[in-house]
Amino acid sequence: MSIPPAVLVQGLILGLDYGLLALGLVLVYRTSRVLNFAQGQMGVVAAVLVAKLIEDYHVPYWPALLLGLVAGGLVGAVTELILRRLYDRPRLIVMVATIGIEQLLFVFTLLPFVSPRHLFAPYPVPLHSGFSIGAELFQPGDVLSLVAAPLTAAAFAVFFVRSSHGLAMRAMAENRDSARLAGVWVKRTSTLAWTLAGVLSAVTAILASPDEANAFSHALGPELLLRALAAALLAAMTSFVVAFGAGIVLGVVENILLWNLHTSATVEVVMFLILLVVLVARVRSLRRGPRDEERSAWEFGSAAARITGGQVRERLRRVSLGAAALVALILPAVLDNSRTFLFSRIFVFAVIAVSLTILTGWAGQLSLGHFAFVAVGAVVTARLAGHWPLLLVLVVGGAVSALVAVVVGLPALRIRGLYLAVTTLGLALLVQVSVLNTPCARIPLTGWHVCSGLPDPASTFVGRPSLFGLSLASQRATYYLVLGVLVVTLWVARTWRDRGLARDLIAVRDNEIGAAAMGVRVTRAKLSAFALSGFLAGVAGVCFALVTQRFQASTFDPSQSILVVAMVIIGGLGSIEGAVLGALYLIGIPAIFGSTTTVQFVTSGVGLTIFILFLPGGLARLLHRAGDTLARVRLASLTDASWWTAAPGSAPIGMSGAGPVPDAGEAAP
Amino acid sequence: MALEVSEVSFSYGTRQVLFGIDLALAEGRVGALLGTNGAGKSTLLRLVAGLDHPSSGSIRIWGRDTTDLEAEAVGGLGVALLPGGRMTFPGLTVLENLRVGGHRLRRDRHRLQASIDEALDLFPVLAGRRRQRAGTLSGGEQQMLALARVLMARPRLLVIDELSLGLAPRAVESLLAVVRSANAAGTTVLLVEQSVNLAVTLADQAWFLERGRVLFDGPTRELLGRDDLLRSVFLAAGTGA
Amino acid sequence: MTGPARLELRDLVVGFGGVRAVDGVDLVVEPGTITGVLGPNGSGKTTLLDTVSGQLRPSGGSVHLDGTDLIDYLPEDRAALGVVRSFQDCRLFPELTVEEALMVAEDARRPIGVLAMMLRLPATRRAEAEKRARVDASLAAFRLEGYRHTRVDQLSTGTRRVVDLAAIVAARPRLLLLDEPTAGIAQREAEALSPLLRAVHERTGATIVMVEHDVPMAVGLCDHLVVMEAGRVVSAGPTAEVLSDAAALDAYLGASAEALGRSGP
Repeated sequence: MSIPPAVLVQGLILGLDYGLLALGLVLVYRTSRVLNFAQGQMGVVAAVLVAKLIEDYHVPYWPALLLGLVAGGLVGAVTELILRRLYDRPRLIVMVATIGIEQLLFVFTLLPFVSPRHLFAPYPVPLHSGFSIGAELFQPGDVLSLVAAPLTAAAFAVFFVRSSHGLAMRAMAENRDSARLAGVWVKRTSTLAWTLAGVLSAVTAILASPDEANAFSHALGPELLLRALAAALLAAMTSFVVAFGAGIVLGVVENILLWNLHTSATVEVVMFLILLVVLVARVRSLRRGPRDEERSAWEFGSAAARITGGQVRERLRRVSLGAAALVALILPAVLDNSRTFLFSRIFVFAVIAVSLTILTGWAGQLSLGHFAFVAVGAVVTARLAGHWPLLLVLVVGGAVSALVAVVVGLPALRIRGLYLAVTTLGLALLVQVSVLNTPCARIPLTGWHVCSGLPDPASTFVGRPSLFGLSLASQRATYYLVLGVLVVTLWVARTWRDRGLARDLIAVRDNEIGAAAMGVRVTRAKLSAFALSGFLAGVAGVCFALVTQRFQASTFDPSQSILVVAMVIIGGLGSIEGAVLGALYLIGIPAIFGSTTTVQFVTSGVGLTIFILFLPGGLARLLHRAGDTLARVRLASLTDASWWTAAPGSAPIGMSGAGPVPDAGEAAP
Repeated sequence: MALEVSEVSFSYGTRQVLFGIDLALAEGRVGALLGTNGAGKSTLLRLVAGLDHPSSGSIRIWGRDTTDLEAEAVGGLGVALLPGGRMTFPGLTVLENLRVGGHRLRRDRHRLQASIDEALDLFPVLAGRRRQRAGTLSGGEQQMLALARVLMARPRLLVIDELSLGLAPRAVESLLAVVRSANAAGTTVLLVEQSVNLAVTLADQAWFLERGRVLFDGPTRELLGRDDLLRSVFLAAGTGA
Repeated sequence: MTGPARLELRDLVVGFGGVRAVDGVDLVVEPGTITGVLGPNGSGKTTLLDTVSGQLRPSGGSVHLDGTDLIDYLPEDRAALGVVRSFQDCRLFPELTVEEALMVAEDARRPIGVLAMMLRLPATRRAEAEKRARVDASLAAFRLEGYRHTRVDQLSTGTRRVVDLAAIVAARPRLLLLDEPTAGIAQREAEALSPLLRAVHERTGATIVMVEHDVPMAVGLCDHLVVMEAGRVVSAGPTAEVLSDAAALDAYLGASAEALGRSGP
């Protein structure tokens, strides 16, 4: 089997994009230890601007290009200035913040004064002639890529190896303190690195845009980013040469696979496997170097506030819980069908958010593909809902999803933190693009045709079964079902938090070495987190299918997973009530202001960034503060002030003073 | 005075590690900070170099208040810190390490090249390994490289954290020779040492720190007589008794 | 298995890159003794503990606990055998309360079944009640009741040490490894720690190996001392013997004594 040269050249063009993007990822990671999910989107702003200048203002190409590159650099610099506020926070949070910025930038490119008037005009290119290999025609844009991308990479390499600024960046990445002492101004240098990353991203986007049918909506989507991440990881996030080369190889491999297998679905599977192998193989070298991303403590909204316990707080909690339950029970009576549907949806998302809270908030395993587990539950429902009793469907949906989650969790025992996030994002893509969309596939090399028995991805009607003879056909009945599931979920999560399990998970998250030294079974704890979280997500998936009465592969795209991550962070990472609040906020607000994708992105992007920057404890902390204030007011009115002074733990005392140190006689049993 | 530290306190979060430290070191002298692990010696050096800033008190270098100056700027005043633990740039080559050391000279190619050559002359063993990555050097060679690097700035105040840490005697010897000659050429030296013998041979003046407080401030020879201090740290007390 | 454990290290070597942090250590620690490991910074003391508790895999030699070769045991497996350790930074679990942190130690000994917990089976509830009772007793014994609901990260380092020790006792150690228990704590707290450690020794009956910089404290507490320098044991034996050993003295006063003799005054 010989591969036509045209296939290779196409792969090369694709791979050059991956390579450039990977360069930017490695640059940012090396200088600031941030996995930058906005690496693609930063440049899209510049690419859009170039098109706008040329199309709408008739600026000649080269000046427009120059302005575009400047804009890309500016975006990079501004991003760094925003993220700088977060440098003492956990690396995972900073990474999520880059997702927020990515979404912000996306919305920014849609604004009328940024976006060109004619969205579907071909993207400007300074050349007019292409070339052909055999029957395959290559456009002028391809020529541009083939020439400009290697030149950019070479210029970048020269800068990094030869110039004193490049050397300063490398020195800073290796040993921050010593670099500072030698006179390298690390803040400026860091901004410079991000500026450079912005310019690189701009070049990538400008080169990639001519190939896209609609350059401006999703020029550099998650697929492209994931390939670039794979290339960057292959280079252990350190070597530029390897990253660029790996990008090219991945592009060529992908194109050969595509030519050979014809279905993008199978290609996606193979690419995911490559990513997985790379991660597991690289895990050792990735762990070397500063391990701050694993060490830093997490920011919790709830735990800190829970300390000021006391009966007043407890009574307040019960009253507000009761009130919330009452409102939830009455709601369907006063709402129309579509609003009832909306709240059912909010509750489903609340269940998903709680399940993610267990995995990410407590176990510290960031999942960017949580909707894949939800999809599993929905698939089970679509297959079984008509035939099996509802309770069984719920349990089976949960169980299958738990199983899938444990399988995903297995590599997570070795891959952690940032790298697990990349893996789960890959999984999300895989599930949506390949598994759900491909009920039947041809297995490569064997010629077998295999059907997975999955429901029709375009749209499958899902009937609502009855529960103990009660019909669930009405919107209202479904509402109560989902409410019931939510209540049970909350009760389960609360039980886990209060007795056992959660404390083991948090112990392992905060200090894995210490927990292991104490005898905590680290593997068991992590896998049970995956199983429990997967189970709840699967149950939520069943509800999801029942509420929407439809199974549609496109509803499970990766942006939904990101949305859930935004929920738990906006709600207050680790807090159960925060997860519910986050779902209310992110699903409720768009529902009121219209439910377009854009509005959803804005609420999550803006919300995420603002919350991460200014309200680390999220909505839950606001709630607890309000509770504290109320409790204080109530207490003052009770005139019993002695509670304050007598409260245990209200003011941590040092070991001196009352001294908790027993002498030998007392401590002996 | 080359260095004056007055009333300096410092906390990591809620944990206070330095309590009102006072010390003064005259131009051209060698001072040694001694004390147990966790006494706050390295923290004090970080404050002097501007890597951290005191929560109260002030630091003056050649009369100039540097309390809130950033490390990059303090370095520009002619202060060089050699941090503890063989602080090279392990992924960069020997030559690149030295180029970073000469970062402040980057606009003057000739001076940069000259000072790189000087640095390589200090430790001839490094000259043969110009293109080798610093991380692959032996412990002693890494410390030589680190010292050569900080000396490239021709510091007037050289601050060294644990020069001899975990090194073979021969390596310590050649490092010491370089520090001595720098001092002979007029550089003021402040060093943190665990090895009392080494401190005694090198320093005129010593401070003994314990749990963030100065318990002794005076000529190094007098410190040797203070058995009560050494008793709390060193086995010498055990045998002396 | 109960009762104090015997630890035996044979020709232990640990290397990082070109540096040998532990360079051929032979050591026998008899059951029920308290052994202090002394030595200057960077002499390999903590690395030695890491290989015993399983955080590091030695590049050569062996670690035997009562004759069992521990080389392929994970840290949590070693903990199950009774090898429990404290860490220098004593981070514990910053976001758990003191009570929860101690419960984690109890959980490690008797893991919770997820389903059993959800179903609230009588046996599980009984086990949970027993754990709580033990934690209560331990809080009382270490006088930590006042901190029961305080988050670990809000404690002073000294109090955190006490919580750490309580958690260690809860893990039922047979061999207890302590890494600089007085690091980072105030003078008064450090003085209070000696009787506390003695109490822990009596309470658990465990063999103790402790790395310590505070020599008077180590001398007061330990019946055996080991002095390390540059990855090697330069002196080992009963405390009184080591104190009168010239080699131990040299290690502390400066490794480079002979170098100094040649190069200067």
